[in-house]
Amino acid sequence: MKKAAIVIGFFLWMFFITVIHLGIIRSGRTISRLQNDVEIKEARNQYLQLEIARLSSPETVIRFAQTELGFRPLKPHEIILLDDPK
Amino acid sequence: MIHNSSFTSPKTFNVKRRLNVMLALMLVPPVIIAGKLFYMQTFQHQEFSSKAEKAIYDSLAEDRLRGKIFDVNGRSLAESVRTHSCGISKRYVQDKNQTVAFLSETLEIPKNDILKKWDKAASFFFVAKKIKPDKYMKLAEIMRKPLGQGLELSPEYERIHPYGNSALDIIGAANSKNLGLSGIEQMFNKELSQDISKKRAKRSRGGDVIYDRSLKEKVSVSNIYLTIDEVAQFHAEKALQKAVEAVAPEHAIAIVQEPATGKILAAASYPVKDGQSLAFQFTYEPGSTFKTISIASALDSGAVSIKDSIDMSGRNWEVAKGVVIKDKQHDKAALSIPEIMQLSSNIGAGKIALEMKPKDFFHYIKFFGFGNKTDINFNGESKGNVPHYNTWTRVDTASKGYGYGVAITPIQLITAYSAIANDGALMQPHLIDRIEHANGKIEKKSKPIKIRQVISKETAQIMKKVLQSVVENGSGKRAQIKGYNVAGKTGTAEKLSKEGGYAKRQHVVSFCGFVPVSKPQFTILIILDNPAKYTFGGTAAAPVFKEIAEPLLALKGVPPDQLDFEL
Repeated sequence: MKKAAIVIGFFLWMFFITVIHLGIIRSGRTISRLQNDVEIKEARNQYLQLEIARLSSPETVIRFAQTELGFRPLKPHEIILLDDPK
Repeated sequence: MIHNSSFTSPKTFNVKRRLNVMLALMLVPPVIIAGKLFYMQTFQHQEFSSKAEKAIYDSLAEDRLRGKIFDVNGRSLAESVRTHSCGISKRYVQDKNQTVAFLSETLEIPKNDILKKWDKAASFFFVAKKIKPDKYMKLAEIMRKPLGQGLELSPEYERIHPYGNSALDIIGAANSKNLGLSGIEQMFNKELSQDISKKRAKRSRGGDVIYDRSLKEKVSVSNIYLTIDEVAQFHAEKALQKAVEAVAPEHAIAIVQEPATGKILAAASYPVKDGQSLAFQFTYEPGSTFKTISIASALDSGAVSIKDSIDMSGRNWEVAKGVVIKDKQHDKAALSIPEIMQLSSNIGAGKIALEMKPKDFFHYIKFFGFGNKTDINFNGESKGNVPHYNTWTRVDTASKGYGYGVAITPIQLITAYSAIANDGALMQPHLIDRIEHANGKIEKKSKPIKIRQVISKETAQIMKKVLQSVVENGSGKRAQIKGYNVAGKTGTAEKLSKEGGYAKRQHVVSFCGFVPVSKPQFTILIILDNPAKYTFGGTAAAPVFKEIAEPLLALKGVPPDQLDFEL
């Protein structure tokens, strides 16, 4: 009887270990997939930031200001600098 | 009834025998299995271990993460973005037509192009590289389905330059293997790259990597901040491009430096080549822009005084037997030192050079930083060539006075002009502002370092006035900026001919100056090498100075230093 209990206990323990191991592997796969998704989204975000950088480059801003808004670059002597009252 | 324990009835014997046979039969498979296992584990160990290794484990591709390169204000000039490449292992593809159609639609590549590659490849070929995240996601989804069998996606990192070719000659290039090949990318490769050996990762049957804590990487790359200001760089490149279109030079260079600190704010080259900045690598005979150096040296050494007048020898000066120097640009019998600079007189500069002892002149040239690398640490920087004074003849000394017989680099010349702008103090030029390490620590690299006092403050003040007079009354008039006092000097030097001597139709035209004279904020050097259109420093290079300086003065809010200008 005692021997039978030990054998059953051993098999239960093995089963428990197997279930835990499978759980860890499943979680690992989920984490990997999530990490991959995060990396993809980060990469996509980086592309968007690069697009912002391109759009805010001096060349783009000057071209837009001159062609779309009709601005012209000021000569430095046309700028009046006010003293800081503080 | 007699009982005999040793007696076994034929029936019992038969059962026992059968049991033994059964047992023996049952033992046969385990024995065979055990035998096979013993054989496999003992004699076929290596073969099966490698099979298991391939089935379960995989080596993850080395991470290509690379640090960023920023301008001084944190604008990204170069950074890596994650992309993927997509390949096909032909033998695993289940339905060729469907897979090709899917790839063609997803990657926006004509079907025929993919089919051509298919026909050419023996077993594997790349369909596309540098696949952006959106397209990658569509491909990754299909990978787990039968349609995706045979497809292989591998991560890559692409180096992106948000401002296009801007400052590319300084930034340089990095290859897909994370190795800096030229420019800053190469100089700071160690700081910018993350060297990770391949990681052993467990994969599921579907091919997914199974997460393991040991896979987590610590980011150890640094970001490099240059002293380059992208706005200044843009204006320098734009103005240089305009000059290139106008006079079609072989090479063109524009540098903007902050004289008080030595910081390089912009360095543009034409033609633009990855990591080949002509600002540091170009060597040339400067011609008249070097007169500033020889006259500053003569004034500082006391060989001449600013009030001296130099005899023009009828504008035909025989410096040595058979060697005649001519001034064709004026008809004066004598010139003051400011006039020598304004009219760019070779006779005047040559005679002044001869007033100094060659040894003194040589030492001043060296003190200004010529003939030595600037320690800016740019790869391929040239040190130029200043021959030792022991080898100088009288003609050599005189010709060095007006910028011949010495080979210099643009960075040396602009740093020397900055020294004059900076009251005689030669500052160490800088290209790297700071390094931001992965742990957040900032390593400051661009502390202003005074190399030495080259000339006295008084001499520097005199030279500022002389150079200002060149722009106001002399050859540099086209560099004038309304409201600001500008100081500078033009240069038009003949180039050495391959046949020997100087080529009459090959020139280097240049202008170097600083603004505003009262408190110089920018030193700017323009060089146009061998323009196709015949031109001069005053007509081709001086206007480029103005074109670069004007927007910079406006953007930095530098107040005018002329009080009586009309709005």
